[in-house]
Amino acid sequence: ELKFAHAAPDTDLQQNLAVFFADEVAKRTGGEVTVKIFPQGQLGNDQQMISGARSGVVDIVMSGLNNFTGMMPRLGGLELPFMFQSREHAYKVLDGEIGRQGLAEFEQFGMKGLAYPENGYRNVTNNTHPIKTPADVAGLRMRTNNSVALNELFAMLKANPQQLPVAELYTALETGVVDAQEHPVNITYSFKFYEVQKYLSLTEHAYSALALAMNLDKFNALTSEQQKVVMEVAAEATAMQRKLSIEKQESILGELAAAGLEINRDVDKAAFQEAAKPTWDSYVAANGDELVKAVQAVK
Amino acid sequence: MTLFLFLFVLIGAILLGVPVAFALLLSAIALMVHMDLFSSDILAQSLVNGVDNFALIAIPFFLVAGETMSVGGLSRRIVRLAMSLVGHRKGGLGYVAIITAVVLAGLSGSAVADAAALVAILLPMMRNAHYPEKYSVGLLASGGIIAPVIPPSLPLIIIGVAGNISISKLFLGGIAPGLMMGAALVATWWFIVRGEAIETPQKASAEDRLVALRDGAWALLLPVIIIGGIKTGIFTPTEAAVVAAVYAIAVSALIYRELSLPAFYKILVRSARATAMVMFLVGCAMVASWLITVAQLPQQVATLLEPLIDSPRLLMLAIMVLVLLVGMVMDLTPTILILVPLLMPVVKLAGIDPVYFGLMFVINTSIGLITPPVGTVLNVVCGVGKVRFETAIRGVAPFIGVYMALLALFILFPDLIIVPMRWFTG
Amino acid sequence: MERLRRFVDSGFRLMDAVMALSMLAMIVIVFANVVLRYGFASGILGSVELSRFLFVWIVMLGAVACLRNDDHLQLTTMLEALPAGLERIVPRLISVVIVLCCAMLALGSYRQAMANWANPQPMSGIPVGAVYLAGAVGGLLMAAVALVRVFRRRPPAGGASAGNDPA
Ligand code: NA
Ligand code: NA
Repeated sequence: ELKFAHAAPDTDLQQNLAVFFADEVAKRTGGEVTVKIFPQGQLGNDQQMISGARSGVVDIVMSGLNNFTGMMPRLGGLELPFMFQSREHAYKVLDGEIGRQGLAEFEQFGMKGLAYPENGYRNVTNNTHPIKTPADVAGLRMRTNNSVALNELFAMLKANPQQLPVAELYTALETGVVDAQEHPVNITYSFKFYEVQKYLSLTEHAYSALALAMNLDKFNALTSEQQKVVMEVAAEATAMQRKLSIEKQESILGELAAAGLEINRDVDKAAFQEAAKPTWDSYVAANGDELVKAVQAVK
Repeated sequence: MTLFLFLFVLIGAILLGVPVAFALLLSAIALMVHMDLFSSDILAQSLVNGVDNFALIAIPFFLVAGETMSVGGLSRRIVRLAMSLVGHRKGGLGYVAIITAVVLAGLSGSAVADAAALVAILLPMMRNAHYPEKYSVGLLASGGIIAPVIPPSLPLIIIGVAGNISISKLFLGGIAPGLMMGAALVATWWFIVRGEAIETPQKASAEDRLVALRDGAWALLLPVIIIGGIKTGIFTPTEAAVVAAVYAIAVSALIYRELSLPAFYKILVRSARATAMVMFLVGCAMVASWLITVAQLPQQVATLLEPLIDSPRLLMLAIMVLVLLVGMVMDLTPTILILVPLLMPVVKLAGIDPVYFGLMFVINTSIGLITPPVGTVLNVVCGVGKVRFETAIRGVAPFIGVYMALLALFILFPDLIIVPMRWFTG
Repeated sequence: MERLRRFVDSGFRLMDAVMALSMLAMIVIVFANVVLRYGFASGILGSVELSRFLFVWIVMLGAVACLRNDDHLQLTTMLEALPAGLERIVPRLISVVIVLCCAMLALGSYRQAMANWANPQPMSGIPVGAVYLAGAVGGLLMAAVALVRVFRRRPPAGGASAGNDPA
């Protein structure tokens, strides 16, 4: 029995993916390989789940790609702001040669990279005004994640990026310790940040992929038939979850609007893209421009 | 069977005198062997990652603040003022402690941090006033667990996410039961001190009170700064702890001039060691929780509840007993994360208000923080207050009894929670 | 023997100093971040990662000091009531349990430290392995303290030995 760990609540699409994966793997291996799901970080935070998947304490992990880029800094290029022109572009890159090379890197760290499910585009919420141009970001105290590029981006746009644990973010938004946050809309929805925010602007400033990976020894211990099933099901589950993600984004936006969040779709993406380019430089300086060029070459 | 093995090793080791932290590790290792999962990686990862938690950094900060207030003259001045106001009433400092606990609960979201602050600041005062130690400790520990019920509250946020319940409604709904817990403590304390021989000094004159007030002004400013700072969004509840520490250091060193450099060094070392005692235990509890989760012990119990769907009160009672039992051996956050997603479908089927359920769950797991054998707040209180575990267990017992009675009342009359919640949420 | 004891004592004093300085650094970092955010619309990148790193080290080193001073929470009722035959055996048995737990902590943390040495945290660059190293060092030192107690002729009579008062 394989232990499948992820950090999302069981209302999240990550759980849908996990359930699909567990059901199909069991079905197609005739019950020889079974999967038990541990959602919501029950087996530890992202760091612990990934360490667990490397040492075999956990068998399968699904976590933000950003949590793997410490080990595999080259893949940080996939996390840069405005790297992908569209979702289709992102899927082509991640499912193509660039993505395959990325998954191959996991093996050095004791993991078999399976696929890149979707966390979604990151969008800004705040409680003062809709964000239409880069100038609208100035002056916001904005909670960001631990991506250096995003911190650089918002600092360059004269916002004040701050790190806070996500569990404390709701209260911090409510009292005004920070007045803005940026997450994919499903997180804004499941953590109920809409209860303490007024505006959601679809800035889509970064595409966040997840990584689905399995302990390498456990993978190699499977028969080649079973390995094939695991890879197939991972790809199908990812395709299904991405499709649901697009559908769900619209339905979540509807729910958020119904809950009183003002949704702003009028964002000058071209201006944001231009403003974001300098944040690619430090990545390029450290890792070369090979991956960035390759991604931009995919049409 | 697995559950029995776990409890047998844990309770047996603790009774034998194995330090609780290592008893938890031993029971975790027993589960590992039982499940054929023996691995030092599991132990190391769960322990180190359990400690590596920014929200719990409030603990050392409140410890430094408390120690500094006590060494640097702030506490003495607050005692003097408090005593001049309520000292002539029997057990007056206890009432001061309860009021402080409720005010702190409105500032902080963590029972552990609140209990640490209460004990560090108030226990020395209560000792000086010759209060019975066990009941003083029991009162402070029970006061600490009001923090997760009154907003802001980390557990309410976690349960809102885990159970898909409105966090705003949980917050607003927590105010009334939190205040009722405070009121229950007042009644219990009144009853306890009635039978105790506590000397009560003469009622202070108005002039004495004014002098005490003027002398204690700087110390009294601290809660004002903390409340104001959190409510106006200058800092988070976690950061409030560091602000309290810096303020206490500044006032002690620069205004009262009662804090020397060597004394400050000792405060840092003592706080570091007390932090270590508390947090090492947290880490060890996370190891045990990891294995309890993988062994799926709570699930086995939860499936037994399904037949009770037709009778909401009975179901609620059964759930509360289950949560209480799990809460005895497990920490609050993992209890929520594991049980809530499992119970939520049953709760909805039975037509129980999810916000009411969420609040009851958090109140119940908060009580679990002061029940042996594993009670994080109880551990904190012992570590910070340098109190024997046995003393704390005996002292906290009457308060646990009263909280249970309150919980039973909430099960019988859900409107006690639901009606005030509607006042706030409209 | 006397020199060894003095050496160990100064080692523990050094550990106290490291913990005190880490404590002070944590206060300064988190407080400075509040001041910078509110007063200067700025912040310290990596302040959260750095303070968590210090926090873990304080806990792991402090846990060693707590073990040496018998400060870890325990029920002593049974220990105090042990009959003569058992009063030598049970405390040693407890020390054996502690050695086992701490050896596992040290080994597991060491493996994690090595596996994550080239895994820098994004904001501060502090390797994840350096966080796990605290568990390896703390576990090793605690195992050593407990191991001495397994073999020492007379177990300590439920209290701190000399020279354990902080500073
Ligand atoms: Na609170
Ligand atoms: Na408990």
